[in-house]
Amino acid sequence: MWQSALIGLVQSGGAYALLAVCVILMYRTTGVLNFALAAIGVAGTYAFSSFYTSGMNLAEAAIFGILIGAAASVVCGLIYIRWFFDATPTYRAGVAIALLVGTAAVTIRIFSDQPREIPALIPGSGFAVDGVVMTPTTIFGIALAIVFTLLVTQMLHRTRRGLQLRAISQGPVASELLGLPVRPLTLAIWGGSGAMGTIAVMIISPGLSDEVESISLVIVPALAATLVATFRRYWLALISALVLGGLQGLLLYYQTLIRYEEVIPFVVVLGVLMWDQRKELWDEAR
Amino acid sequence: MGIRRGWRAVAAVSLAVLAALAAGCSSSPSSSSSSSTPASSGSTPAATSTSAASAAAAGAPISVASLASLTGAASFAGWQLGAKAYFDYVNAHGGINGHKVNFTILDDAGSPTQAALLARKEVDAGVVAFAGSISLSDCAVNGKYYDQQGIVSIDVGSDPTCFDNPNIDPVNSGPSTDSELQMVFAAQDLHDTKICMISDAVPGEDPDFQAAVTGFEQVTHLTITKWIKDWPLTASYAPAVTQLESAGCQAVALPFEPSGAVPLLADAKSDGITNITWISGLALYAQSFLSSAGSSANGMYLGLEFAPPGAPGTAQMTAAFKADNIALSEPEESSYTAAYVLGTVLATIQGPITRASVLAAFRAMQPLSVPTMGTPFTFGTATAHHPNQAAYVVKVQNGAFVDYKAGESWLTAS
Repeated sequence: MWQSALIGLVQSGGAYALLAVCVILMYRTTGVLNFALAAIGVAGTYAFSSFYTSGMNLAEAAIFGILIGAAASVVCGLIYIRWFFDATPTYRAGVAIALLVGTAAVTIRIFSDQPREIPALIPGSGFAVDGVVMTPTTIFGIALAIVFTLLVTQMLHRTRRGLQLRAISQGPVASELLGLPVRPLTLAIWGGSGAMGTIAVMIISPGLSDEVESISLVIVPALAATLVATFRRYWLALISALVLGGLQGLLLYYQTLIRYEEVIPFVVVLGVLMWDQRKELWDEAR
Repeated sequence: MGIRRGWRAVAAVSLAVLAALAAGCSSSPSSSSSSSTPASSGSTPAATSTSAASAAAAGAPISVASLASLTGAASFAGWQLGAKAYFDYVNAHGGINGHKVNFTILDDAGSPTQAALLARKEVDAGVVAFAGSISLSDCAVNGKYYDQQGIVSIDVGSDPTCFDNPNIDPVNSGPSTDSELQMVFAAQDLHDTKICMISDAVPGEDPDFQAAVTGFEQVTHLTITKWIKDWPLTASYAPAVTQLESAGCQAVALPFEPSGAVPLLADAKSDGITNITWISGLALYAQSFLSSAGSSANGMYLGLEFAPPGAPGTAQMTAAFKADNIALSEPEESSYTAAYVLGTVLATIQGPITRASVLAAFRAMQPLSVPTMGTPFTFGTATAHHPNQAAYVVKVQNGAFVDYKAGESWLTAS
């Protein structure tokens, strides 16, 4: 039983954590709740797969795939800057959903929906811990999530750029009037998040069905983790994401609970929202 | 400010609508029935008809139609090209007793309403039979109608109702026989005793797999070691692979589409699992699967519902496919077989070819040996039909499909 939980944690938790931290970073700095992050990652990953199967070596294919994911994300960022720069969060969320659907559609159009080989990002057989194989890719995923979280938190609170980014999140127009390089910084955040999202999808996708829609929906557990972290606490998001991966793995162990594995992130989201609104409910009841 | 806010709302809604439309136009197959969603290698057909004008086919044309879910939630796009290839070939070689065949393919888009409308439209237009239909709704929606109208459908059965109708006779073995034969093969030919199965979460398929398990246990007197049911389509396969290995499975029946099989096999390979033999079916018999699975597929077996190209008796099929420029693969072969059966029976009819004479010919026919089927095709007066009870076994070796045993690769359910 615990093996199944550990498999879920290592196979999926690292990728969920990377995505969750990116979602919080984007939300705190650009005000965008980026539902399309995993879909953008899929585009970069499919490019990686195409380059690799056409003969490019693994490292080069991965670098080009990450660059394409970053570029696709920058394009999305340009859309926001051009038309929705000072829009309300509601509008921005709506646009993010549209970008999720649109990015998935464009990816299918460009790369088709034929079966494809998505190689492991880091080849090698790894080592086993009581029957659970820790591959180099999954270990890298968890390590990268921890390092990335550390870098983001340090950058935001201890550097001048971090201060500028936090200022932008409070008021983009005011920050721009004060002379901060708002648009270049915003695009840099979009590009960096796109690159990280692509790496997250590259880590998780070899073990998943290779359909664009399925892989794009790995954003859901990441969003559940960001909600637990109240869109503020990066380390809590990391831990929540790892726990969520483990919980999904645990449910897959029990035949009677298998079909509820996909529901777990939504249960978490509902639970957090209800807990957050508990005072409203109780006050209304009185 | 109010106008700017309103403009942005319109822009946001427009963007969302455009994106939804784009997604709708690029829907990809999501059905995971083991004998359904193809790794299609053919081009996506529109409603199309053959009109090869052979100078020798001078009699009144015979109208035949095929109802297929070419678009929609689960697409069988490309499967009908085999039937079209057969009728094109027949028309180019004199037709059927001098009659050209007008073959029409219709897309019901997976919609029951559309399936009903199209069937009635074609019957009113005078089709004498349906051949090579593969639809999510045809059998369930139109079965009774075909019985009332006395019209025959030789189809590729995609749901249990196709195998439970006096006028519909599927040429494929269906998911329950398919999976049962995979497990029987493991027991009888590979001499494994710990046999397992993993099936994914496609609604309505559990009864077929239960029937397969029951049939396997009755034939082999073994008990299935582990059956992982309803594996979520969005979940990682790593926990499943670990569970199967922990259970001691020697062979695992894998009724998956390539989108599920490729990551599962890759996971097994990266975990270093070499003591499990994977056995699957028709859906994986495609070059695109071999290309994407790579060496992780080596050593697995596929139980095919039809003899693969190159097997004895498939020369005409190979020629027909080549003439129509279709890549040879099992999905297209299924509709070719259906068309072949219909064409063969039509050729036996003396006198006018009507839906009544076609039905009478099928009811009177003797078991028909079909080159691509392992058991004879039968129709007769039965109230349900399930003639295909065999699998042609191939093995994946060095990135290619090879016959399991040259000349002895047919396995029948016994």
